[in-house]
Amino acid sequence: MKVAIKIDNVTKKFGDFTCLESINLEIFKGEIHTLLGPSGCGKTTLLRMIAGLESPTEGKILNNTQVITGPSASRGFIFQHGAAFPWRTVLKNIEFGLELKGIDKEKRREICRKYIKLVGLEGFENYYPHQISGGMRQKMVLATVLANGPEIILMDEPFGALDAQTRSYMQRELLRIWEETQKTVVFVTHSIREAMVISSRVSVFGTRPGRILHTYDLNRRIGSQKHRDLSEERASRLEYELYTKLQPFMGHENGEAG
Amino acid sequence: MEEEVGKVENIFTAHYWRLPFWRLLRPYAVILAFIILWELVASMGIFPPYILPKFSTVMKSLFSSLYVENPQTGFPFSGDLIPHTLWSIWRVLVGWGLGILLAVPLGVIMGWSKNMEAVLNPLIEAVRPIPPLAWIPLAVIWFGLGFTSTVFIVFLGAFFPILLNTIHGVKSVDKTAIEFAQTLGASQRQILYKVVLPSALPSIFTGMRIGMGIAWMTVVAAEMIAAKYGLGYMIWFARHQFDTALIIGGMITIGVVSISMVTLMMKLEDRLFKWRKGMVVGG
Repeated sequence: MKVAIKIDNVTKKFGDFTCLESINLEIFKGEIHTLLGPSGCGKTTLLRMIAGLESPTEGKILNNTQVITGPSASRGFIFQHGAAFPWRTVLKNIEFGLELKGIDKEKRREICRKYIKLVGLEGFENYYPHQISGGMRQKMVLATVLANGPEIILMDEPFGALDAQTRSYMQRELLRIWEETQKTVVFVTHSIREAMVISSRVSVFGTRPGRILHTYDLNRRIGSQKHRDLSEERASRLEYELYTKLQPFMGHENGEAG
Repeated sequence: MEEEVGKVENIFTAHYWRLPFWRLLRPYAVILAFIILWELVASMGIFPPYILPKFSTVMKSLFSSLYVENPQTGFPFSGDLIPHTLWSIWRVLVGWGLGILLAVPLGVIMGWSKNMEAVLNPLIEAVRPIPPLAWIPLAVIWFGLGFTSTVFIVFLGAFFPILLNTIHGVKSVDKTAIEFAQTLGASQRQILYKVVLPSALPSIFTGMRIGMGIAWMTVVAAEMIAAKYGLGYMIWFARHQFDTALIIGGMITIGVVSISMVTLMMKLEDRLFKWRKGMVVGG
């Protein structure tokens, strides 16, 4: 397995508060690696550090062999509420990264057409983000990131704000697009079920301080995403295992295992 | 027709309030009633015409200063409504334009950099409460009577609303949008031009529109004291002649021209910032 991201003994502190302590993790090329944990475990902070939006207090994070020092177009980021540029139409949103690189209009349109088709937003090119639904907006953001040609896609609870049906539809869509593009995905969620549907591997986080309790190889345990059947007994067993692992850290919060 | 379920017909809900004729008339009804009342009261002869001229007299006076060349009354009163109006519009546009040129970049800098804001804010906050009109004496000493003084006063009036709204607009840029742009590979410069400015533009335009209104308020006062042309000068001069009809006519002109320009700005905003509104389609 080739390593895309190597997290080397990373600690993150905000003042006196230790957000993450001694994180060691390797994320493989082409996998969907899920960071699963209750809120406040630092999983989003870790994702932001991989993006280069925050820097570790101790330790370092490597992308291939390069230490990450800031944001880069090679690591796309999808925010929880679907950050977009509301003054741009869907098409102009998707073009954004290509425009930054100074690619000419013809070429931009050509690339965008491909990704608009991939995420299934044909016919909505000239709509503004406010005119489309939340699920479509996240597809638009995904297309924006994909069109920019990143090596890795970082997703911070991207489907958290969607209703249950749209959410499970988006999970299937993500898997379909992932299979087509073969990108490395780091995915943050607090939903065990979501983690089990989409992940190649899952790292379970505990809180106070935020740390990785265990990393599960889902492909080995319950088969690859494509052939996975969550009604199988081995899947139920794994779900129970994940649940008991997380349970002590749920606190007052509703862990939303669904 | 609107839904009428559970509604009792009375004088306020009666069907004639929903007739198309009334709907068309509705925005003008009160103004029309006011004008008719004015005309009636002025015709009764309770007040002498120099206190309250008839509305029709005011209109006649306006039209005669539009068309008629009357050598007896001299320059400001005859056929010169348009030059006076154009002078005022020109001063408003120059002063307001200068206000935009200075306030927008300054506002972007102050909204973008906490440091610059901390440095510049004390001066801004110290000058801001001084009414623009209080600057007139100083403006006359600095620039003499005429164009420069009035434009300076208009500039002061327009400057602050534009500045404050620009700062507000830049500060309220969605931080996530900036981070999203960073992760797509945007440089600081690209973030400024492709994220911060477009996102702050509606707020900048609001400032420009408010600045336009204030520019009109200040230009009239400035022209009364510091100019030889313009609508402010025209009505101030008419006072010496006790030409009340022209004073009121000038006031109406000021109101109509300034509201037209502000409305034009609003239409432009609606056009440019379509992206702010909209409805959800599809799922």
